[in-house]
Amino acid sequence: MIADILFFMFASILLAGSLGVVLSKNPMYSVLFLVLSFFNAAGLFLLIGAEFLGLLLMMVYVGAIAVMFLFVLMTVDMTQQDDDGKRSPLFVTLVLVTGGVLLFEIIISILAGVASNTRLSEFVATQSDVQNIVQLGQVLFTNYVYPFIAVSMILLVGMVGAIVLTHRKREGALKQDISEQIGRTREESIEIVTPSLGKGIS
Amino acid sequence: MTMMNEFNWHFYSAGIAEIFVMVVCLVLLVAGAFSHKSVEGKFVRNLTMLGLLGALVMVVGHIPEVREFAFPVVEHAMPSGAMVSLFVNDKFTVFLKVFIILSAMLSLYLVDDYMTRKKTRKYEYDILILLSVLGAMIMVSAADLLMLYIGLELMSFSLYILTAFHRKEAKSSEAGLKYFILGSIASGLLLFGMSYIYGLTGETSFDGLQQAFASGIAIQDAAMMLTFAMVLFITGMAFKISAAPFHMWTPDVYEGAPTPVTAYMAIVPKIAAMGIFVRVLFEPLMYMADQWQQIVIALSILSMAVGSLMAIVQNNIKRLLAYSSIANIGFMLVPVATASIHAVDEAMSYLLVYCMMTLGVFAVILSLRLREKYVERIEDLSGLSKTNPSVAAALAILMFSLAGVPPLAGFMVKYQAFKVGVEMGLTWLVIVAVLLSVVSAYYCLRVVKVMYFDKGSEVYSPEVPSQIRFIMWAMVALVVGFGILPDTLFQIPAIIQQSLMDATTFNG
Repeated sequence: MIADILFFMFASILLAGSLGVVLSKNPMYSVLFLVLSFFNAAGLFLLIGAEFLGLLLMMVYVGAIAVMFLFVLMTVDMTQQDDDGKRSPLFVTLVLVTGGVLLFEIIISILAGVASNTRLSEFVATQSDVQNIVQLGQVLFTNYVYPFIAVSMILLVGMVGAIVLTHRKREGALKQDISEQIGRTREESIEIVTPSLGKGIS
Repeated sequence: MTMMNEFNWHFYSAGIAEIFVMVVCLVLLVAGAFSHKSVEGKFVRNLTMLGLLGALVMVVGHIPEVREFAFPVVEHAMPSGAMVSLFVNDKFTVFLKVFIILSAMLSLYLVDDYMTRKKTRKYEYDILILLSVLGAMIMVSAADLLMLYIGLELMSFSLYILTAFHRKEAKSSEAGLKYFILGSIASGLLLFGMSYIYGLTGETSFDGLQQAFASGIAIQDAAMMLTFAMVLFITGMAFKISAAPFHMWTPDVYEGAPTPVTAYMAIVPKIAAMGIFVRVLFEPLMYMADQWQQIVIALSILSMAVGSLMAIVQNNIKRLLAYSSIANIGFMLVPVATASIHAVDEAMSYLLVYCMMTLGVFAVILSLRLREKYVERIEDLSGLSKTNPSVAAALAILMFSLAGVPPLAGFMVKYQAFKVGVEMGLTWLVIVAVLLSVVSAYYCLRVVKVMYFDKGSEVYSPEVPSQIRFIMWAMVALVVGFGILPDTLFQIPAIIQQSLMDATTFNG
């Protein structure tokens, strides 16, 4: 019962959020609507017992990708472009055709699902006593430890690559050199002068 | 589950070389970051060489008599009771790994002079080479589509970065970007094919796939979809070995990348990709041979035609080598296209000799400078026989070998490849190959003609670094030596072919 209520709540907000992404004129609002949709999609994943996918969606899509969108939007000039509302007929047909095909596919797959009487929850491997994060962890760190580590090497290559390809020495940049600071001696930093009377140090 | 909780060294010992290279990469990253600027290049270079040498010793020191597995997937056992592993070690992988590590070491020797002159020396170069060697090793040892993909990506990512290594040169950055985008598309196709194969058979391991295909259930139920998946898979692999019609990236990337990177890229990824391509075709996909044979024949003919014909009009020697590598991949695919496992050794010995010739030619290119700039145009070679006769002689021998002139190694491997093609009944393919190899002789001999018969007045920068000279003459010696004594050349591939055959009979 509660699950049903939650499902309809998440689903309706998800749909509304997705509409907001497409319909809002301000791209900033679009991204924020996108974040809202991600959260609700994550909620749907949690409902069917795929908590790992749900958390992944929140961490990767909200935490990394949506934030990156925001950064990009903020660095881009945000002056609103006037929309005269005119669309070329080719564009409209293209949109209608692709949209129609997608809608058709969705309807077909739903009908096929109804016909074969499979429930969505059957696709998610749920053992009642073990969470699937634990299950994934058990598999990743035992049987699949080799690909797991190898993938980490790929990430390392990405990091090294980003540094190699973009890092450069800037001329005249001030940088703290701690050993130099500590290594200063009294002799090279302090000079004792004896100014003569009434003249001061010149 | 009980086995899983115990640490069993036996599960990992076959993959010791990979683990070692992985650790060396990590240590070197830290060592390079903390060592002093004035010594870091040399320091990291020496340690990289030591690391590669260590990996070589580990690979050679343990040549398995029968196939060995490592990193078993404990819970996933085959019906026969054998455990499914992610990693396989047999004579085939040992051969490829030795070949990969030696090529990487030699190509690292080519770098010093070039990078010092261009003032782009960074210690990360060595680490990226090492990482891509690691990727290549993981790839050739893969016993599972998953590991194949991960190894391939590790190798390719390092190469994308190395291609764009001279980031201040527009050409290098452009080549890097092009390679990255096209490579990603190819990986996508490969992954798409793999996911279909997994979806249709429920297996990703090579052994499991072989059994699934052997039982014929998978083939009957979804023959169309499986063929489709296989086409996608072969497309992805064909991109990596730059076989036409998936060769578009090769000339631009070869031209734009820094020359030592091109030398590396023309060799190591080809060895790894060709090796695993052959393994996949003859192990998991051996029962689909009827289907993939046509594709490989098409790839072979197109590669030979495109490579040989397009090389004629090239003016830049790096582009010429790119097209020559496409053509050579085509010749290499002739024995593979027979779909007979008895032809694998011909393909492998061709690969071996192709790598020697290519490395030698790149050593020559890296040793020639005109007005303190590296020679890239073919006209710039004019009169080389007068100004620098020894280098001209070396390049001439290598070019004759590439053209397939007896008694050089290039002729021997081509002859063997064509012979096995005729024996296996692909006479028409061999006739096409022979005709196109005549065409490919033209562009090779044109280089010789420019060097020996065209007048040149330019003076080359005289000094050739001793390391480069050593590699150049070593490769010339190998090409001549194997040409005179071809039996030694074919011994090793024959052994590895036997190991591949043992594997297929063992499971089938």
